[in-house]
Amino acid sequence: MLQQVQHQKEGTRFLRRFVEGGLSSPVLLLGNEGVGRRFSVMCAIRETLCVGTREPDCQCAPCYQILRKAHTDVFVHAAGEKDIGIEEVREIIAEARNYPTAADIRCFVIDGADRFTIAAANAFLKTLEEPPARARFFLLAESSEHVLPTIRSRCGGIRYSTLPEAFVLSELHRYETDAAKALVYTRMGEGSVGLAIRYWGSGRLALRDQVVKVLQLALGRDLPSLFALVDTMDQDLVLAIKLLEQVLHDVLIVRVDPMRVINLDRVEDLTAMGQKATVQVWSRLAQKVRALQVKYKATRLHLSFQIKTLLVESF
Amino acid sequence: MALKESSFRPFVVAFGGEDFFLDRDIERTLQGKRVLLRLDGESGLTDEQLVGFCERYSELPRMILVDNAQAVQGDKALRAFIEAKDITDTSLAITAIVRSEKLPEVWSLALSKGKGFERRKPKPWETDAYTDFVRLEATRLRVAINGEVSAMLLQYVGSDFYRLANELRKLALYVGQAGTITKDHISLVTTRTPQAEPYQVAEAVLAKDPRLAMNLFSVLYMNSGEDSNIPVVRALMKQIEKTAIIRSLIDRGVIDADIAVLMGMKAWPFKNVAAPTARKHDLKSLVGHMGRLCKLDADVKGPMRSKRTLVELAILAIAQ
Repeated sequence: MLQQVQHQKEGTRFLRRFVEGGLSSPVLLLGNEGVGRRFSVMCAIRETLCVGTREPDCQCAPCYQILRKAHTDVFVHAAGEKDIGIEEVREIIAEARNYPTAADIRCFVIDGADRFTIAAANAFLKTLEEPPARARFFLLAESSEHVLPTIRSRCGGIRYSTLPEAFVLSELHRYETDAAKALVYTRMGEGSVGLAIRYWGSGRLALRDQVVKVLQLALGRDLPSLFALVDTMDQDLVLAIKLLEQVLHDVLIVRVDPMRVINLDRVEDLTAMGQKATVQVWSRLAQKVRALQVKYKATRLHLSFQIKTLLVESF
Repeated sequence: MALKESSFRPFVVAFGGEDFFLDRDIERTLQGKRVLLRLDGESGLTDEQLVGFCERYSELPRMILVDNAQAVQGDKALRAFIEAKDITDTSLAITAIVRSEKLPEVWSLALSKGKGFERRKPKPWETDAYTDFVRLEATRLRVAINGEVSAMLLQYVGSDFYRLANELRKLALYVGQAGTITKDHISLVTTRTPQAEPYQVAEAVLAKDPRLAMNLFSVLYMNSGEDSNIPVVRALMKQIEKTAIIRSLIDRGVIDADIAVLMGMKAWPFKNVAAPTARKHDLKSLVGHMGRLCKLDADVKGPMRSKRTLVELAILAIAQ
């Protein structure tokens, strides 16, 4: 079933060892959201626990249960809005100590290894160091930076690369029939099928249009409208910053290579905006937006005020 | 809020941000004649457990009081229970105390089958709400107090309902039943606690009155300690944003009356407070202050030490 995973050779090779029984230590899968980390792990687990044909369409009991998230020996835990706390980790450890009920091993997929609280991560160390004989751990994280070094050192690491544009586009064509829009969503996803589909599903082009409007208002120094528009985006500000970063990338790149811009449907607006300020101004703003994204992850800043300030300071 | 059997409703929901009145609701519920079971949503109570308690058999009429009902985990089982509950069945009443301004959906459903009370926390400047409270509380304690004296009491005590109620009890004891509380009684019995609100600090800063701003900030710090840093920074951000908008409109030549309408302000406070404040600054300096506040926001929320000094420095820099 691992053959279903495409464009992730390193990950597939590593997980193949697990399927063949040659890997029992915890694994840390690093890569952006939506590049196939969880999908490939679930494929590997299915292939390992399958008692049927070991083909993607197999309907044996374990395959059926895994696909419906009902297998008693497969646990998937994803960090929600909150970080993964010590209570959740203790539950996982307790489950890992139990014997498997339906298979030979118990598999634990933890999506958000970079979202453990310090106490939770420390509580997990011993189990990762010496996992119970019949427990297999798969930890998923977006980048190794935020994973505690002590956790990193106890896991074998696989890095998932971003997916080729053509592949993401072909996947997105299943949902979006408009070729131009599909291409914009693909580029917004930055090599991630999951993100591209999520953006498509939640109609993010409307938010992107608001972001472009915000930049236009900032260029025109129309403070009342600018502040009011930023306030209306209050619920989506984290994503709006990401989209702002992409729009700024486009403003800078549109002068050099218009075919490489992400927001292909707004090339004219991007070109017009680009001419209203110097490259230095745009690149400085892009740097500040990137820094704000990093800073926001560490400290919960007052985002709307930060964005307003960045914009009025820049122009 | 003790239930009279004639006006029986199976669900009573009290919600809002003012803990004083919600605690009063609990006190009244405790005075009821039903067999009472008291639960707390913050102790990890799930909706299934709550429904389990509700469905237990009892020979006597029962009352289940759920404090912090907004924190009850899950709502599927509870929703089904509420939907299926027969409103003519008087054997069980549930009182939910929701300590949040926003009512969770499941308790809105309960409210639609019962009755509810909103316990909103009045803003510090809504003095009428506080003087009304003082008057009603005095009536409850069987003493008399007039409007001017209420205002004085508010000045002395501030806008904390718990403190107001306690001071009134002291005053009622002092003047005796059916007595009248006077200004002299207040100055004799009540300890004066200076009050300050973050928005007052921000207003003083933007009005370029560093002395007043620092005094108010010290009072705030004395009352709330380190907790006052973030609200002050937040108030400063809000105020500076508002001032920047007004200043930019003034620079564009928009007349005061139109700006007041655009800002949703009444003409008098705009003309006498907001506009003169905005005229004390230019847009460039305001944008500079916004940058300073962004950095301060990161500092007060981060592990930085001496946060108070940082806020004070920002206050002085903007106010001078």
